[in-house]
Amino acid sequence: MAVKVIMPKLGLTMMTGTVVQWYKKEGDAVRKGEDLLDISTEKITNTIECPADGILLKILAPEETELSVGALLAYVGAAGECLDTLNACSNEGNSVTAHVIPLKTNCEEKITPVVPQEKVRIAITPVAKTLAKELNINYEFIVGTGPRGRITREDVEKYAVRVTGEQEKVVQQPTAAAFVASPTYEIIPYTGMRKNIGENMSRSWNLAPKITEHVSVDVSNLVELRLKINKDSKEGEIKVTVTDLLVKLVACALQLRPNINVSLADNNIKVNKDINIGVAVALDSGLTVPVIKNANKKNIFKVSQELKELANKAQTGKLSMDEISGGTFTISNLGVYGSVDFFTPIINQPESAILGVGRIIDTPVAVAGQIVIRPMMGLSLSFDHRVIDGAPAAEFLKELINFIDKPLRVILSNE
Amino acid sequence: MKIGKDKMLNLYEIMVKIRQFEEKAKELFLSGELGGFLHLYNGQEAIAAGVCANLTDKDYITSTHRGHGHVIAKGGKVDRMMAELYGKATGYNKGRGGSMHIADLDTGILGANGIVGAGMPIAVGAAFALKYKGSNNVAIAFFGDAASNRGTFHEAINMASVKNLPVVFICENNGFGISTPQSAHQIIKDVSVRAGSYGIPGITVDGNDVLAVYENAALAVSRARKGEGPTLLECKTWRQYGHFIGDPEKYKDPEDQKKWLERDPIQKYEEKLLTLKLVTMDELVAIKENVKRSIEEAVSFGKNSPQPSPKEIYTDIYAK
Amino acid sequence: MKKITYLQAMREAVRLEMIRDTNVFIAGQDVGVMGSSFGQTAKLLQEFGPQRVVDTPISETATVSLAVGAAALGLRPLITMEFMDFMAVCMDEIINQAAKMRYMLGGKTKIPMVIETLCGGGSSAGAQHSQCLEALFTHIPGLKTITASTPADAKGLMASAIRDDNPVIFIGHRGLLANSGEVPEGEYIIPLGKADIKRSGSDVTIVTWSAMVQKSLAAAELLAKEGIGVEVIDLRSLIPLDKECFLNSMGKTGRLVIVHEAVGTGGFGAEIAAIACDEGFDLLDAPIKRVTAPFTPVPFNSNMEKEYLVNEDKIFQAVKSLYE
Repeated sequence: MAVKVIMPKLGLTMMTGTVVQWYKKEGDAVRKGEDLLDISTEKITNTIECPADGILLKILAPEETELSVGALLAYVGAAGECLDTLNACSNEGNSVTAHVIPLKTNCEEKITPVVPQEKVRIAITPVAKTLAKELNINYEFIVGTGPRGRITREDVEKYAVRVTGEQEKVVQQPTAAAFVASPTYEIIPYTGMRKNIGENMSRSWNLAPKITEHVSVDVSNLVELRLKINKDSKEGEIKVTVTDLLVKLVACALQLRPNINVSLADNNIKVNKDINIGVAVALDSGLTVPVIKNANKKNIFKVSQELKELANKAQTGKLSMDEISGGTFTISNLGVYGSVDFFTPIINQPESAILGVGRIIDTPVAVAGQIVIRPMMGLSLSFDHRVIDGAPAAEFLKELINFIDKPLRVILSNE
Repeated sequence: MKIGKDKMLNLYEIMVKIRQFEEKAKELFLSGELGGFLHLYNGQEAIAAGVCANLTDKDYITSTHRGHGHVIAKGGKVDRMMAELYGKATGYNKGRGGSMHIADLDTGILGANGIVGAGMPIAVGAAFALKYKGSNNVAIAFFGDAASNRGTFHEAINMASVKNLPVVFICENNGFGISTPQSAHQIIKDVSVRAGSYGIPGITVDGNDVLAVYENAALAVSRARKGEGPTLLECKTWRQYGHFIGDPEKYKDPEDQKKWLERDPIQKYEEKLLTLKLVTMDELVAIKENVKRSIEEAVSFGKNSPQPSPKEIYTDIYAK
Repeated sequence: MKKITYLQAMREAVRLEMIRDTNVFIAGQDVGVMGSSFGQTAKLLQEFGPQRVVDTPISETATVSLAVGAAALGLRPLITMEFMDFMAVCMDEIINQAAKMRYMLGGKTKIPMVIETLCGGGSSAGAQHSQCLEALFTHIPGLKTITASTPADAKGLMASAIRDDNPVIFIGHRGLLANSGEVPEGEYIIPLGKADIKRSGSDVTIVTWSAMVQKSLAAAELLAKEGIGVEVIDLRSLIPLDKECFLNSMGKTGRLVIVHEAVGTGGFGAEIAAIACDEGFDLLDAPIKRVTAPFTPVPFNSNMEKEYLVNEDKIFQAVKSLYE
């Protein structure tokens, strides 16, 4: 009896996945546990293991096909099993058991096998159909997210972006074509990661009445500590960055001020016991926020190493769902660009606060009645005023400033 | 009432012109040259001629689906009328109206009308405008006995009387509403009695006696010009043909038809003119010949005129 | 700009046009001393006299044709029908006479006349005093059919209607008469055939007119809270129709909802939907929805009438249904 390979649900929010690459061809002998194919979702790519020993009898989802969770991808069965039999089997529906084991994420949901659809008329809106034609896309492989599974314009746009890579592709929209003789502009579809970021930002902006508190901090001691730590590092060894140190210091400050490490959901304020610090990483196509879990409990080298690995994965699109979820507080460091002191970051919902970090710049400041030059760094703390008031935020900043001023004690304390 | 010889001959010529136009139209229609419907005015010529002889180009008329006679009597050119019957670009309506809608604003013809009874309140509107502008011109509404049963008859005469407007309602009682004889469509014999309900004069005259029509219309028009308000003038007549060409007229009593044909308005008028020795037979023949020539020319004009472009249908729906 | 009511705006336009052009006159039931049932012509008799503010008998038929005849002779009549329902009485005069005369006569005359009327339910006026019958007129070549949803529009469109050289059916809404809003003073003209985007949005296009503009705007506000951006297009003029306006909007949104107070069956919304399918098919990203009255007469009982009338919630639900 043939076994179905089905689009797995690789996280709570996953609705669809795209077949990136098959490692086997139809007719190849396969072994259970062998890498069979790669599936990508909005942000991550997973390698799917083969569910059974046998022959890869039929691939139903070619590469670049986007399908909803549960959709049939392939059959693995005994040599000589014919497809007619498969079809007969498939009509029995739930009696066929699927064995799909995602490699890199924990699949919490039970996978429901689906009956492969007979070849029916595909529901697609007129504008989506026209766009698909213009982009030379076979819409049969697009999964409709509209009412009654209808393929909408957005579905085609997303698909187009996917099959042409995450880079925004210049797409002339039919609307423009229909009404503007010769456009004096190019249109970049607002889809994929860009749209995700946009929607998340809009949601946060509309949801959370936000306050941002700014402060300029003397980082003489922090800079000095960093130099000391890195001084003895050998070739190939990790060098600790200011961001690494800040992740650690912020995590420890949050430990003292748990009322900042909160999130609001369903009329409950959740005070998070774990302190998981997200760090915004800029990408060509947008940005992503990998998370250092339990940063307060990890030593600085561990933090530093993890952050570097996550950043690398982010750049190559290899982050797992797990690595980008679960954050309780975010740091966004624009300091490296040397052009920003302060800004007003938008909260990464459902978190309640985010710290914006500016450049470090030598500045004349008054110390004990004397004007001296000190390396100063801008901090901007945005927080959701629904759950955090100005005073506790200021208290948190006070703790953080104190740690930045005396970093050694904190860095040592948890080692 | 004094009436000069010229005017009397003019009345004759108009009646003859109407008759010959209708006969020619019938001939062309039966030969398949003309489209649409054809409602002929034969037998009623004295009314159009007698009434319109009292009018100038600055007076207005509204007509009916049986309107050729009114248009000719009011000064319409037979060549442009014939062209309209042919549906040609040179027709009065550029081929968009046809027999039932011939109109010429320049000569005060607001149009024949395909809806029975619709012209009356439009004439009231024209009269309103004439009064509004302070002119002493008048509006005439021609309609039939059957139209006097329409609500428009009541509303129009009531409106005209209560607003004291310069309009004359000319009821051409030809005995039939299509196939229904007057006795079957109204219990009264004289439509003119209805005038009493509106507090205006109502007169019934012999509609086949052009001089009687002329004289009574003159009184009504004069009242209107003097600001004395509307008049209802009923002219009793007979529709010599059916409602339209092709109507088998089974509803007509042959005796009645015979009796009325003996009272043909043109024939009777000829006899009167000859009896009074106002004209010679030769003069009348000459008039008929002249008219005949003009009708032939009109047919030739109509036939040889260009067709309107089919694309013309999109013009003149709205004024810019 | 001063704030005046919809009713005052209509009257102001009429008054200014009467001052501007002595060929303009008003005729209708109770337009004189009474100033019309709702005050549309209040005090105009005193200012312009009985020759130009003409009380008529209850004779809709004769009144419309009076206007046709007078217009053919160069006057510019404005006649009033207190309730749109009454226009059924004089349909020959509107459809066969006013609308056809110019065309039938080969373009030799113009019929510059306005029939000003009020439509709309919501006040338990029953089946013969509440209807929205615009579709009866939009079907007739030769007529222009316009509506107004705001005081400013009422003024600008009424002035345009009076200056137009064609028969224009100006449909006010009884439920809007007391609404006030900013209206430009002095001469103010809105060209016929130009729709107005009353609210911008990028997700759904609502095409509507008359009192349903306000209802649609209210629904749009609710929908915005759900993250759905609604563009509300007030057609204002049904004929001539500004189809480019809503086709362009559909190009942006891909979704079309048509809202009108009139019965849906054979309503003007069906025409909009047909045009949208025909000329905007490739823009559609969802089925076209209509929100209209059901195929019933307007009931008297206020609860029944509530059931009958389009409201914000029905519009809201229709838009939401595009996403379900």
